[in-house]
Amino acid sequence: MIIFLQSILNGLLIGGVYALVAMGLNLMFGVMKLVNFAHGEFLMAGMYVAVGLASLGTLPGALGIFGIYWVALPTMFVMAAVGFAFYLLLLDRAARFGESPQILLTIGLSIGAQGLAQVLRGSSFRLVPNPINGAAIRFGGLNLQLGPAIAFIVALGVTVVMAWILRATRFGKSARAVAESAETAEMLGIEVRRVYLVSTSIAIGLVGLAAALIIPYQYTFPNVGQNFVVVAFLAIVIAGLGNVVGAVFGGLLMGVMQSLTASYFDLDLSTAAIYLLFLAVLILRPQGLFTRGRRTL
Amino acid sequence: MRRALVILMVWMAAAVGLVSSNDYFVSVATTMAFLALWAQSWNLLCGLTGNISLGHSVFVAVAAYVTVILFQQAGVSPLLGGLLGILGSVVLAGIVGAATLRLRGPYFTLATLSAAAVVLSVILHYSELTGGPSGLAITFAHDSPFDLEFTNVRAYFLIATGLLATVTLILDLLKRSKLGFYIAAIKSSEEAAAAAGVRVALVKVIVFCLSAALTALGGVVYVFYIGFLDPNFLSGLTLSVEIALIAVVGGINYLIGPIIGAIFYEAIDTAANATFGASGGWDVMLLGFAVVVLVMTEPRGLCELAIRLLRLVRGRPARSWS
Repeated sequence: MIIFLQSILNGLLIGGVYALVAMGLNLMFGVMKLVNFAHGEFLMAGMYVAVGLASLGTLPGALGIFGIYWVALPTMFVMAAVGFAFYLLLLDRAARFGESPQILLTIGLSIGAQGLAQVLRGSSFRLVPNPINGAAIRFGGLNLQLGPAIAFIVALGVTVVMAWILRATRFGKSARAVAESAETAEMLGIEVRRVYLVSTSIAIGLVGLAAALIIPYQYTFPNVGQNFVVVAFLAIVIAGLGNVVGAVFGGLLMGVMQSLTASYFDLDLSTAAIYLLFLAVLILRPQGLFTRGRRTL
Repeated sequence: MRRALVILMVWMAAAVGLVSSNDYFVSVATTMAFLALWAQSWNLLCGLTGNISLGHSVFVAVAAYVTVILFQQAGVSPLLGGLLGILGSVVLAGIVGAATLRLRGPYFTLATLSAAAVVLSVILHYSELTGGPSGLAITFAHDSPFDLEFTNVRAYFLIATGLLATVTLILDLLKRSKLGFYIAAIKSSEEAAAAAGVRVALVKVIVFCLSAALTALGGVVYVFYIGFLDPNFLSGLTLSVEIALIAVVGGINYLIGPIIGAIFYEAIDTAANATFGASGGWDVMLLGFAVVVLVMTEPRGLCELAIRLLRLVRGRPARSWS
């Protein structure tokens, strides 16, 4: 029983990071109908930025053992700027291409970025020594890993903020209109390209935030993004492509599934179990578990 | 005419490979031929139906594992074992295809990706039979054509180029056949095709199975050429992505596209490794960014780019992409 509860807890905490990665992925898919295969590499880039900042030191005296988290906001803004450039340099033009050139573009970018990281920083595993790594709180026989717990709480907070942005702000309303039909939105006077630009910046900024939250306990290396992005893909399909808030539940579900199957089955088969769940959802309910009808975003 | 051209090209390449005394050159050319063969088989599905599969390496893997395991455990000749391996891949494609081909766009892509991951993690799990993560080695010292064992690697180059020509011809014939017209109808509008009496689901599954069979065929020969079943190569996302990338880089609307794509891909890889060494990440970086630059210049691939350049040289205005 304790193993079961511990697995659920671990899964939820891992799932928080998947949720942050998946949210941005789904925002881009929902608004731009673009599957960003390079999303994991933006996570990787964010991790290198965060590690670089964190190795400068912690804020003296402030934040206590949480000193390393000062990098979170700067990393998020740096990555949002990267997302801004990503849209202006590549996506703005590629938005007019068909589906297969877009997939090719993001896959090319993903491969290129992994190579670039290896050329610039080598293939070694990096971790800035910090008190969060390995720290845990014990209660009632359960072990609460501090680093993943913080990431999880922030992920929930970000979900609430994103849900509010999409529901209540002018940008959110425009984004939902564009997701429904870009042509109609354009005719109604919404500047579609600006919505695309802001969505990409938010999506990449979120992935930067996720990067900063995991560097205290997760090694940084050139291929690290792959570990997260494939799961995030599965999470968004299970949630429903384009359903940003649903992506969070998808991310948490994937985390719990992964953790449960790893505790009770072999590690190899835990991967198989996740993909099987995914295939089952895809075949039985292609619109996703958390999406009713055709509603998007 | 086009068919004759393709055959001529492939045989010229084969002749160059045969007379070349440079083993390194031959090994690069052989890899090129296998990549082109897989990309061409992949293109049979994607180029014709527009469904992008990112799981094609699973067909290479299934055929290779079945063939090698039958050969090593039961002494079954790879010529027979290979047929069984291909059959295995076709059955798998039939199951996966029937379940996922009604999905469109990114759903199908993600479904193939995960179907491949399921099969491959099962392969890794039963390590007593499959060697698990450390793979299976095939060792031989003598020529034995019926066991696909040749001590001279040029033999594999000949087989690979021969298979490449065969697959290219099959694709060409298919495009002009009744099935080819069904597929073209489905690609332009599934609803219209169905209304006109085309059995959409059946046609799509048949094309998927055919594509899987040809991919598997390459896998059977490849594994004997390399002499090692490497799960890292076969099971990763990398090979599937490479196959798709090569076909799309070359241009999916051209018979010669995947061949051009494979030459482009392998040439960059080889040049980067020769200049910067194989371990620094330069090859991956250059390949990735070359693809990005290519897509931004001409999203329809190298063939289209070449045509545009030709028009430019002749002074006629280039057709812009739509």
